[in-house]
Amino acid sequence: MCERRSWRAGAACLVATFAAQTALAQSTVEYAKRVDSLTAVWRVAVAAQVRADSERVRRLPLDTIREGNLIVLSDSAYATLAKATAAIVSSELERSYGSWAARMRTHILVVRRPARRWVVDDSSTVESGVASADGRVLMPSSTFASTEALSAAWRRQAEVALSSDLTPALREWLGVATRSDPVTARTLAAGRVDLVLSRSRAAHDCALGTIASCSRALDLVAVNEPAFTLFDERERRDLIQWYSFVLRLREPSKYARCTAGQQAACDSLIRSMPADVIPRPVSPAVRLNFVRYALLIGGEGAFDRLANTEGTVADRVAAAARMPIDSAVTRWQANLMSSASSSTTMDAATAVSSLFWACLCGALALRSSRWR
Amino acid sequence: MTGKPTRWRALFETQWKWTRSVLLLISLTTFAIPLLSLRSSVGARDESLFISSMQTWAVAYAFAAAGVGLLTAMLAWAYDHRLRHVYALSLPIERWRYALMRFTAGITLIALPIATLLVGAEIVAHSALVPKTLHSYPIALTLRFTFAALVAYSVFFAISSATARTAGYILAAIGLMFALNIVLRAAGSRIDLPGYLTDLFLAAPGLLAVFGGRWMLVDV
Repeated sequence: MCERRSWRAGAACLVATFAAQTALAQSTVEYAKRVDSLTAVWRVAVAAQVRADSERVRRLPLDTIREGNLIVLSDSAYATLAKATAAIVSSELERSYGSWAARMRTHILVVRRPARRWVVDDSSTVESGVASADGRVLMPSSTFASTEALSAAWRRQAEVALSSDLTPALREWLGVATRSDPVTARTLAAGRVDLVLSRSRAAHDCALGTIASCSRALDLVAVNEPAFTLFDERERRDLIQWYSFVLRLREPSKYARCTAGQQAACDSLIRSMPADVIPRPVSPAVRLNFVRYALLIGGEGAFDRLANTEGTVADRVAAAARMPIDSAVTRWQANLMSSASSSTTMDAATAVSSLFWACLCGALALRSSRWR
Repeated sequence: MTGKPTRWRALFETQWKWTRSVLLLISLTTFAIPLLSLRSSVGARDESLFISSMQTWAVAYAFAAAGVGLLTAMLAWAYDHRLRHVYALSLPIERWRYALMRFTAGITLIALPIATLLVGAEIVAHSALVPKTLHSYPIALTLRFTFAALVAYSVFFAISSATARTAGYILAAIGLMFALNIVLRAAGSRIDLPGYLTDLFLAAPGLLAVFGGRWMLVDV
């Protein structure tokens, strides 16, 4: 096989060599000129495209629609759609975020004709986003030109915009944007899956009912040596394995001893890691679940208290829930682990369709004419 | 209660004689699968890996269900085919009634491997080896197995009871579909007939959809 390949490669080289020799110098110059002229045309075209794009970006729609806390810049063609959608989204945001939703007045929404269309006269899609101070459209997304689709896009954009106004510490702790959809038992129960499947001892202990571990897993209390407090020995070895590409270069002897099974060397390696590379014990989904539970039990004005209370993240969540943080954590853990679990193995649709097919095949068997 | 057995019971007893050795073997298998899946998953490093390990046994449940259906259905008709339906023709009943009795007798026989699966799954569900943070769903798994076995049994029962001509029609239809697909492709069409047919059978609510999906005895 190798012989055949090398033979083919040799033949290709031979052909290429002869082909190059037969090319005339005049032709080469001619081709070079053509390439240069094409490059010049291409550069002009790219510059024109960039200019057109930037002009389009700066040319935000002129129609301004005010509905509740929302201000929308809209193309005239979409003004009715924008007004109807803004009415829906504004009331939803107010219900979820309370007076914090008024901050949407500083985040102006945009709805306009999409930049590129598959069909020239296609009006089924629109581009939406949030206008930045310099006139650009942030978080642009293309959606169907319907109130349902546009309100879903605006909800997502508003969630990100309103979350970006939270204090950096709270934002960094959360790790994800807050959600505006109503909290239900089902959405809260989904957090159980995230907590149980978290790969840290603290999360595991929390799931089993140790409330102090929940506070540590949720990063509500300061922890000394997080790698040793939140993770067990096996998880720490996984961590070393994960960062092996750095550790084996930086600490070769320790790494070798650790892989040989010396626990002291592994511990030393872990201690040598910067604090910010130690992963958090639970995913942002779990922390968001906890916050959403706190907002639910906190009732009226919960989000405002979360956003405006001075102090640590724990203080803010406690204020939102209107109870001490330990009580909030205890209630959240109990609610999470006692939430109804349902099997994904069997559902009614599968049962019904199976019965249908079984009856159909059975009926066909009865109609068979083998000995009629 | 009379001493003379009913016609259905007589048929059931003959079917039991034909299938009992195979059924007992499959029942033993269905009892063992949950226990083996637990044994292979114990010692998993965390809950996620435990669930993944349990999930790898899904194919065993699906094969067992298909096997139960196939063997019970084939054996239900085996002697009739071999004896050229002389026994059935000698009975003073319509053909459909006879086939119905065979069909229901087979369904009753399927209950045995289903019951042993339930026992095996319940043992796993009550085992201390399952992590406390996870839930066991022995009933849901047994239900899925039941429906899968029922579908497999019905399909193979219908195939076994059909004539050679019917089988020919089915094969011809499949061949025609492939030929039509080649013609459509040659004509530049984007219609994917085999793809549609696969979806019809395998995607919910298709004929074989119950065999796919998640067969989770233990889940979050």
